[in-house]
Amino acid sequence: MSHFVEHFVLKVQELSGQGKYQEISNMITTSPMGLMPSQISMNVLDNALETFNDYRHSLGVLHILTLKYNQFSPNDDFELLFRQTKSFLESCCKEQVKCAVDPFCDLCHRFTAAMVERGDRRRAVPLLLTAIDRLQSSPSDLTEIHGDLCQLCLLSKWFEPALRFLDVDITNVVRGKAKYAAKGFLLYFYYGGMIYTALKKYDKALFFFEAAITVESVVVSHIMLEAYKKHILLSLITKGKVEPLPKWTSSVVERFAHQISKVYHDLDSVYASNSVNHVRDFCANHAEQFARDGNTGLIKQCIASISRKNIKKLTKTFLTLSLSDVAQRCNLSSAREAERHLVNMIEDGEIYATINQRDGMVLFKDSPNKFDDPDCFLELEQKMRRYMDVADKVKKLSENIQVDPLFINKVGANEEEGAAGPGPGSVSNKLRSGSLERRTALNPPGRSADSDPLFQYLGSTTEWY
Amino acid sequence: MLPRMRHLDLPQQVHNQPNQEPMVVDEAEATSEEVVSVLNPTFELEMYAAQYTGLAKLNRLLFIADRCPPMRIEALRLALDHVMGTLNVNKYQEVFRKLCDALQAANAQGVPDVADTYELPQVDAHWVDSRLKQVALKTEKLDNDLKNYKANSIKESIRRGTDDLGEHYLDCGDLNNALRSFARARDYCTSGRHVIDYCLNVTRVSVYLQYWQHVESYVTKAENTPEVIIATSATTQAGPSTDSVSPTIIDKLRCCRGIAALATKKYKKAALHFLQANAYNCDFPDIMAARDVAMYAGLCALASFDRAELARNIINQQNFKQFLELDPQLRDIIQYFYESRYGQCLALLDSIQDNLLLDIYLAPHVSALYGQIRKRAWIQYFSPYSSADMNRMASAFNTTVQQVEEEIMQLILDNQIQARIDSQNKIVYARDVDQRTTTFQKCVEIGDELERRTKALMLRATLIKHRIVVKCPPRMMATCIVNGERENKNL
Amino acid sequence: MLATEKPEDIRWRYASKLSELERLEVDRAGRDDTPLEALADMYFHLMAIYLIKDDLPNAKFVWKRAPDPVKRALPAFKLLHQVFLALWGRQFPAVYTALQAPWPPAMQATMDDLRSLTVHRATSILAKTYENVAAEDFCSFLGVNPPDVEKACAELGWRFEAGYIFPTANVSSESEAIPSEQQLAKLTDFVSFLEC
Repeated sequence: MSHFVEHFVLKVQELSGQGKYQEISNMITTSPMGLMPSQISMNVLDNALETFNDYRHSLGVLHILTLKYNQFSPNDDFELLFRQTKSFLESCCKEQVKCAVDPFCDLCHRFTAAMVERGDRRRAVPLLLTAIDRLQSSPSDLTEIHGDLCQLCLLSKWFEPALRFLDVDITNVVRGKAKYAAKGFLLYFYYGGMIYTALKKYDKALFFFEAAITVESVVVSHIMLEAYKKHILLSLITKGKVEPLPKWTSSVVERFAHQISKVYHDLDSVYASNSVNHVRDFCANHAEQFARDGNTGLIKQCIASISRKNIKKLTKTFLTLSLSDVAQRCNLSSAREAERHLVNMIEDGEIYATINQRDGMVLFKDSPNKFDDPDCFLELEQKMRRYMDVADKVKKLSENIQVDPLFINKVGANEEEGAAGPGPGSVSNKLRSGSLERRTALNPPGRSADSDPLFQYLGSTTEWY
Repeated sequence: MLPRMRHLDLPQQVHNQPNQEPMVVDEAEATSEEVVSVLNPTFELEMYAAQYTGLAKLNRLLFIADRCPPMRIEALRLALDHVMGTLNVNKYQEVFRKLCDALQAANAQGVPDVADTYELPQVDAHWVDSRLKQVALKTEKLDNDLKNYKANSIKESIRRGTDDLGEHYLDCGDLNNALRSFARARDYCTSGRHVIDYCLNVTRVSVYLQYWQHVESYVTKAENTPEVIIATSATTQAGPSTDSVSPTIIDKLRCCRGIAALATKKYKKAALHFLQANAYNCDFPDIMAARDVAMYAGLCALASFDRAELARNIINQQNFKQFLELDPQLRDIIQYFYESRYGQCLALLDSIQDNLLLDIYLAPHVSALYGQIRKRAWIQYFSPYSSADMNRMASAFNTTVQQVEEEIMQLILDNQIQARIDSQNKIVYARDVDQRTTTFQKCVEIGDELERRTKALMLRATLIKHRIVVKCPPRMMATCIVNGERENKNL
Repeated sequence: MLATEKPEDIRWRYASKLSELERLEVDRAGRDDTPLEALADMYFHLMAIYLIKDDLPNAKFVWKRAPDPVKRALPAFKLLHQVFLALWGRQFPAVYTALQAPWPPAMQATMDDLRSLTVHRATSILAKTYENVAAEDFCSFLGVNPPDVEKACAELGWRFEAGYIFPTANVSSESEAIPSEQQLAKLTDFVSFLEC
C-alpha cells in the first residue's frame, strides 16, 4: 500500500474514532493528501476500502470511492465498484455524510451517470432512495440527488419512487458549498415535470417546469430553455393558450428564452386561430425541430387538444346543436366522430351535455354542481384544509426568517440606511412585487406589508451575494 | 454642416433611416390587405376633386386611379392637370406614364365610352425642361437666402426662410426635405404663433407621409401652447384680438390628430377628435374636406360609441347636425341606427361602401368599422330580449339565419352578449347567470390559484435562502441536458 | 350479468395490495436473485391493479418497463396488454373481448373485477351522456348481447322504446349527512382562520 494512502487511512481512523468528522471533511476537500489520483493503483484503493468500515469511516470510504470513480475507465470491472458503492450507500453514517455534502452528491452524480451509461438503471433506483435519505433531515428537504433519482426513474419508466419526493412540498434545501449548484436542482424540476407529463398530470408538470424556468438566474441554461418549450406546449394543451410567466421570472429568461423558442411562440399564435388544419400544417413544417427537442408526442397532443377546445367553445354559445353541426364547426370527419369526442369529454368532466341519438342532437348544459350537496361540502372542506395548511407553512417560514440572524442584521442595516439608502436592485424589486402580490392575496386586509418579515426577507436576500 | 444637425430634433430619425418604423408598419398593413378594385362608386369625380388642393388632391386622385378602374382615366387626367400647376416633375412623369398605360389598356379593350381618348398624349418635354430649371434656380435662391439670413442671425428671417424652403420642397413633391426644412424652424420661433405654425407645417407634411406618431406629438405640442389653450377654453372670451389663433387652425390640428387615430385603429379616439371640430371652420382643403370630417366622425362614432354616448355626442349635438347636413346619407344612417332600424341602416351603409373604399384614409378601415357597427347593432338589438327568434333577427338584419347564428356565436364568444343559441329551434336565449354558483366557482378557482402560487413562492424563497442561482459556470451548461433526455421523446 | 358491487368497494380491496407491490418492486430492483415467475407475477398484478384504479398512464409504464423475459414468461401478461390498449382507446367492445381471454386461475378474480368496473364505467357514461341511445351502441358499451337488451334495461331500470334506450341517471346514493354540530365546528374553524 502506498504510504500516502496508508497515512490517509490511519488519519481517518484516528479522527473518526474521536468523532472529528468536520476535520476529515476539511482534509478531503482542501488538500487531498497531495496525491495525484493517477499515482494510486486500483488495488491500493481497494485495499484501503477493505480496512475501512462503511459506517464508522464513511468519510474515508467516500473519498476513496471518489478517487476510484475519477480514474475509472470503461474497461475496468464496474461490478466491483457497484458493490462497493452500494455497500457504502446502504451503510454510511448520516452524521458523517452531512459533513461532506458536495463530495457525497458528486459521488451520486457519477454513480448515476455510470449506471445510465450502462443502461442499468433499475438497480440504481433503490440505492439513490437510500442516498437521499442519508442527506435528508425531513422528507421535505431537497437535495441535489433528487435530480439523479428522477433521471433514473424517467429512463427506467418507473415513476413511483420519484413520486414519493415529487409529491412533497419542498421547505428546505440541503446543499454544500459548491458555487455552481443550480444544475442538480434545475434537473430535478425539469425531470419532475417530464415525469408528471408522462403520467398526464399536467397541472403538476406545469408547476415543475415553471419552477425550472423561474429559478433565479443571470444566464439561461439549456435545462431552463427546454423547460420553457415544454411549458408552452403544456399550457396550450391544458389551457389553450400561453399565460405570461410569473413576475418573478428573471429578466434574462424573458429576453433570451423568448427569442430562442420563437417557433414555439409562433405555434402559440397559430394555435389561437383554433384551426386544426393550420396548426397541423405548421407542426408538419417544423416537425424536425419539434422532434429534435423531443416534443413530438406533446405536439400530437397539442393538435388533438384543438378539437376539445373548439367543442368547449361550442358549449359556451349553444344550447342545442346537431351532431353534424358539431362535426362541421370543429372540423371533425363525421357526426359519429363528433359524438365520440363529446362522450369522452363528458366522461372526463370537461363539458356537461347530453346526447339525443335519435334526433342527432346534443344539449349543452351548465355545470350541474350547484354547491349545495354534502359531497360538495366535503370537497370544499378538503380544499379549505389545504389552503389553511399552506397558510400555516407560510407562517412557519416567516417565523423562521424572523429569527434568522442574517435577516435581523439586514433589517438593522436597512433601518440605519434610512430612506435615503439605495433601493433594492432590480431583482429584489421583482421579488418584492411578486411576494407583495401574494401577501395581498393571502392575508386579509389589515396586516401591514412591512411588518411581515417574510416579505422583507424576500426583498433583501438577493443582495447577500 | 455639423451645427445644422442640432436643429433636427424630429427629422433626425427620418434622416437616419428613411424607412423609419411607423412608416414600415403602415406599409406592411397596407400590403397585407388585398387591394380591392372598386367598380360602382356613386360620386362625381370632378366635384370630388374640387374639394381639395395641393398634395391632398393629388394623392386622393392617384389613390382612386389605383383602386377604381372605371374612374382611372378621368382621375389620372385630373391629376395630370393638377400636377402641371406645380413643380413636381417626378409626379408629372409618373402620372403621365400611368395615364398612357391606362389609355393603352382602354384602347386594347375598346372601351366605348371614352370615345375621344384613344389618342395618346405627348410628353410635354418643354414643360419638363423649364420646370426642372425653375426648380434648380428656386432651390438655389432659397438656399442662398437662408444662408444670408443665418449670417445675419435675424431669427424671424431665418424662420421665414426655412418655411419658404419647406413650401418649395412641398411644391416639388420632395416630402422628406420639406419635413426637414419645416422642422428647422423650431429654433427660430419667437412667439406662440410661430410655434403653432411650425407644428402645423410639420403635422401637415407628416400626414402626407403618414408618419402618424409625428402627427400625434406635434399636434400635442401645438395644443400645449398658451395661445391654443386660451383659444380653446370657453371661459376666457377676451374678444377676438388680432393675435388670437384662428378656429380653423385649431380644428385642422384636431382633424389631423383624428386621422392619425383612425389610421392607428383607435376609432373611439378618432371620433372624439373629429367631433371637436366645427363644421363652419373646417376649411383646410390641403388635408381634407368638411364632408370627410363628418364621415370619419360618424362612422367611427357608430363603431365605437354606446347608445348613451351616441345620443350625447351625435344626436343631440347641434354642432354635428351642421356636419350631417353636408351628407344626408350619413345623417340617415345614424338616424336609422339610433332608431334601431338596423336593416335600413346596414343597407344604406352597404350602398355607400364603394365610395368609402375610395377614400384614402378610410379605405383600410372600412371592413373593420363596418364589422364593429354591425356588432353594436346586434348588441343593441338583443339587449331587451330574454329570448329571440333567429328568423326574425335575420329579417331585421336583412340576412340569413345561418349568418345570424354565426354572428351571434362570435359575439357570445367575445363576451359581448350573454346568451345561448338553441340551434335546433333557432332561438337565442339570454343567459341568466346563477350568481351563487359562479361565486362559488370563482372562489374555488382563486383558492386553487392561490395555493399554487403560494407554493411556488415558498419554493422560491427556499431556493433563494440557499442561494441557488443559475450563473454562468466555467463548464456546466454545455452539457446540461443529460443524454437520458433523448430516450424520452415520445412520452 | 351487470355489476352489483360498488366500484369504490372493489378498488378498496386492492389498495393495500398496490402499496405492497410497489414496495416489492423497489426491493427486487436491488437484487437479481428473484425468480422470473415471481417477477412476472408482480408485474402482471401491478399492471392489473393500475387498470383497476383506472390509472392508465401508470399501467402503460408497467408494460414498458417490464423486461422482455418477463413478458415472454407469462403469456397472460400480453393478453393484459391487449386489455390495456382497448381501455386506452376507450373501445368498450374490444375491452370485453380482451377480457374474455383465458386467465390463469389465480388471476381470474382480478380480471372479473376489472370487468365489473368496466361495466360500471360504461353504465355511468351512458347515464351521464345520453338522453337516448341506440340499442346497438348500448350493447357495445355494456358488452351485452343484442337479444339481452331488454333484460339489461330492466335490470338498470331504463326505458327501452323503439330501438332506443333512455338512460336515467342513477340517484347518487345519499351520502350520510354530517352531524350539524360537527359541521358547525368545522365552519367555526374556517371562520377563525379567515379572520386571524
